[in-house]
Amino acid sequence: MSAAAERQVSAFLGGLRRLSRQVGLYPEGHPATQEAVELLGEAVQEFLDGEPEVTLTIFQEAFFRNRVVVPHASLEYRSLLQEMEQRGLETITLVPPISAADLFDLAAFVGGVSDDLPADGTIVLNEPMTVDPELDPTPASKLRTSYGNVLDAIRHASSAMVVRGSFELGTVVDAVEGLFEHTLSHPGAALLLSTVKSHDEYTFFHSVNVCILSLAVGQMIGVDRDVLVPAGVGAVLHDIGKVAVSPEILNYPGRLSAEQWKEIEIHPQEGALAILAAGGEGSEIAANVAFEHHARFDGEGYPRVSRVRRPHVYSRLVQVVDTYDAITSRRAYRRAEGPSRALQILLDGAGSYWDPDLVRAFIQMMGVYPPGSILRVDDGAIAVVVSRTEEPGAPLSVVTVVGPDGCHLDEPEPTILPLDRVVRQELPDDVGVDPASLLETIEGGLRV
Amino acid sequence: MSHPAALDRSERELLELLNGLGAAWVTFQLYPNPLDQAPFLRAVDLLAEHAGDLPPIGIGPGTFFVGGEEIVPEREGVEKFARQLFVHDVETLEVVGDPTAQGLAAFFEVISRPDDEVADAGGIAAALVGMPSSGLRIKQRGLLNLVAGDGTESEPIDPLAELVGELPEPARAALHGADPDEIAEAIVELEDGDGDPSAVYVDAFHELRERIDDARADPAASLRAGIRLPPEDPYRTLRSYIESFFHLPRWLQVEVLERVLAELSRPGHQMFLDQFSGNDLSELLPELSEPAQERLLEYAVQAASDRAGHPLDLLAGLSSAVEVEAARRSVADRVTDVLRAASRGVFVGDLEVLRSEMEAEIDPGRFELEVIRGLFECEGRQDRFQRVARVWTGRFTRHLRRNELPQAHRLLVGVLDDPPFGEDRLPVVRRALERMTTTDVLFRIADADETELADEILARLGSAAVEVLVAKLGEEEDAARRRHLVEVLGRVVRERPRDLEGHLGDHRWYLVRNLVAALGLSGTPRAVDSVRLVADHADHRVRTEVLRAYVRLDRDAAIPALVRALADPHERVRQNAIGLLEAVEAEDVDALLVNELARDRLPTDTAVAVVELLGRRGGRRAEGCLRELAGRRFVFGSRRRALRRAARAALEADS
Repeated sequence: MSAAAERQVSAFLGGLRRLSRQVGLYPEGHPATQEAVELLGEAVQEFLDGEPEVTLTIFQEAFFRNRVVVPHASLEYRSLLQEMEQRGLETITLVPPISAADLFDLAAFVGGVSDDLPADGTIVLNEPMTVDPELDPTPASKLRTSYGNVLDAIRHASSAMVVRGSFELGTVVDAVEGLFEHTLSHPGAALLLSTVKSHDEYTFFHSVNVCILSLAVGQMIGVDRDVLVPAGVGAVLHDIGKVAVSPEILNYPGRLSAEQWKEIEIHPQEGALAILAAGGEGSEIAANVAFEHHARFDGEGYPRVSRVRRPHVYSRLVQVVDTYDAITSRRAYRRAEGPSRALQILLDGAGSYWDPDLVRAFIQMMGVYPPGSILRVDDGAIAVVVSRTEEPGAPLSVVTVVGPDGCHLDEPEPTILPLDRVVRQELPDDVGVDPASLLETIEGGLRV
Repeated sequence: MSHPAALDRSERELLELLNGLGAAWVTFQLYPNPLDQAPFLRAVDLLAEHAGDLPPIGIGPGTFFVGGEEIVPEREGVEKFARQLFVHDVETLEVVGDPTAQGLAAFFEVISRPDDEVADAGGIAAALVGMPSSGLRIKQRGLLNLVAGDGTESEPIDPLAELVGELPEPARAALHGADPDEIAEAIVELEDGDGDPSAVYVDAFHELRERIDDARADPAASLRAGIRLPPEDPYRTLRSYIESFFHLPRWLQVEVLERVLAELSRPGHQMFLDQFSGNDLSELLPELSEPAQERLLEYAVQAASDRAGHPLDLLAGLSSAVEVEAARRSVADRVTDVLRAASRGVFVGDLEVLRSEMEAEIDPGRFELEVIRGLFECEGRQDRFQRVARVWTGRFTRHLRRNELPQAHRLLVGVLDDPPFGEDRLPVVRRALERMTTTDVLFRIADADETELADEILARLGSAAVEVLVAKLGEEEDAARRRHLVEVLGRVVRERPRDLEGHLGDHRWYLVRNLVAALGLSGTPRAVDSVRLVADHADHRVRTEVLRAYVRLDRDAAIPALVRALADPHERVRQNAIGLLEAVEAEDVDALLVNELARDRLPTDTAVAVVELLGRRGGRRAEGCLRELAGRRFVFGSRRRALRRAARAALEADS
């Protein structure tokens, strides 16, 4: 699914969520609901994209638009998805022109305000013909669900930290264990999924990505499961102290002043403090990772304390993958870099900023073009790398998503791409491609 | 908002109204049925009285404005009322007449809701639609529109009309929430007109940035001007605008960049470049003019050397576009080299090292202590330092509850024996320890199997534990628990017996006795000095305990005190002294006792008891003394006869 299509689905779901909240507060015809209905109507037009009929399916904790999974929206609107599942919704079929009354009914139904189904026939719920009863859960969907669970856990932990200054560690541990199981069994898919980014919830998505990448490195090194889960918990919580930093500073679009940096630099200690206050098994290791994740390999970094040793290996691991994911993400103060550029930066800082052995291990795992890399091919097409390169110089396993004519393909085409055909790497936002949406493609094609 | 007649109106009337509304607002919040309350009804009357009389009243955060002048609230309720209106984005309040108590209650009910709930539901104006008449009309701030709310028709006013009207089209698009590609489209369209698109783009950037900076500097003023920035991300619009740069055609990107670089020191230009990734800049660099290239590289070096910049990033160290291109090409090559090395097995050893390091046994307690020490060391903020101290003591008690005394011991001793903080922080740490130290905690420590560790912990808790235990001892009625408390206290003061001295002057004899007992149980000879402070206590029970403590602490040093106690005015003290002396084997005891008899100052019963004691001790000197007493043929007085009788009996018993 193209990034543009993803945005259309997100806009529709965002509008639906807004209206479903409004109908709980105001009656039909109230200006507030009218405005929300209008906005949803506009989003629906985009969502339909000129098609005579579009079906949104809710299945295995994911949204599908006309049988194609919508990965990002499935994570972003996870709570709405869960509400829909609780209401027994399996499909929403939209048949234009959509009536405002049906939009209102749909929102009232989703919001649990009413059991009345849309009556004008422009929105049909749970249309039997569109539901395939023989669908089986796929590894990809389980992986996505476990990603969502960790996302939920870190969201809850962060809000609990804001409210109470602490949180329950057990929920995070359980979620990481689930993610670990699926990362272990589908490492390639997990790496692809770790390319999911969110501008609005950067820290949460980043934390889960750092967790996946840390687990994957540990797995490649051959470390035991018992050892990796605590490291994963540390990875997912490494930035939790950022809730103590003013969002205005976190989102400042330029280089920070010394004063602003001072505030940024408190986040490791705030995170460690919150984790220790949370207690529970593994809290010591996680707190240590949070405390040390900006302590450099060469002894510099922050917070500055009289350390007698290098940061622990878990902290050093998180430092490497934290940097990689941060560089390849769009930040408030900088646009994203491509994976190769990120790997180069890691290489340049190996031995001073980062543990050289871990940098090399990480690069070895990721390859020159890690899964999720978007490549411009010599004929003008755009392809996404979907699995790791085992041998240096070996051809890449990719799927072509944009043809040489610049048009997005309806069905991504798997192919093998020799390295010398790669012209350059592209960024997801620049070419309108979301690598994580190809997860199901490489896992055998989950189509509803 | 301003009203020309505002300052001419009676300020007293205005204040009266605001005070009335403030009082009604407080009443509404306090009473289940505010409509029955006088202040509430008074407010309704005031609203009716002043209908149409007063100018629109501007709302600030906790204050009101009329004609640009601030009306400082006289009462807290008024300030709270203003604040509540402010959080709901009410810009002005107008008294329009026809008030009803129900309407005012409904008005208050709406503004009492959480602001995000009201905002989600379409804003305060929308929320007030359809409510009974309150006599008030509000105007709501909005980013792009302003709505009147009181059940009357909304006014189609755009508070940004003036502001937006001044802005170039692309900036206007950004303010209207357009996507970056749409903004870019608007800029490109300018090419067909008279404007220079790159100039418009840069100008619009400055306009936007300045508006946002102004709004951040004075949020209240900006709200009054109709600008509402998302507090968590006020620069979102600006970022979105800069993002549109990347949707411009390359030639236009180059022109914009040339303009930005031509005035690199102009405020905002560096922020503009900060948004670019190194990749973005390196792609554009070769297409720039030579002077622009030079400036960009200069900027890159500066950014990379800046602590707050992007170290190792951007283009630092490169001095020409050719080098940049070469660096770009080398990226993949360098990474490939690393991978080749990996395939040749270069990293096998490294991975082994990493694996063994990762699998090495982890000692959570070590991490716990190191992090706590680190937090204590680096935390410079007083309130957060207190929090660190609380987390530290919290973790300590958690270990205790889980019977993890060694871990608790390490955590406490690891901080206290080598404090990672300055002396000025000691009071905070001490207070945290005091808060943590309860009798329950102390009993848990004292009752642990690991007595040595427990004693070390108790010793370090020192004065904090002393205070708790002494207070408890003073009120504990159960004898068994008192004994337990005394035992624990004895262990606590083992290292610092003087910690108890402050309490030895307590007026409660029983408490002092227990403290002396605890000193005795501490077993440290240094406690003798503390015990000595109450050797002459008015209560004989304390004096008795003092003797026991002496014997426990330093038997040899106790002998003179015991002998002196034989002359104590209280019989129980004397008896105790006799009993304790019997257990002392030192030879000089006999001599001291003999001397004491010779001085003939002991009460008769005690003197007899001493004679009997000498008989039981049976030493050479004692025997000599007994023989001398027993051999006296002529004695006068009952005391002497009693002594002779006792001496003879002792000798007979001995033979």
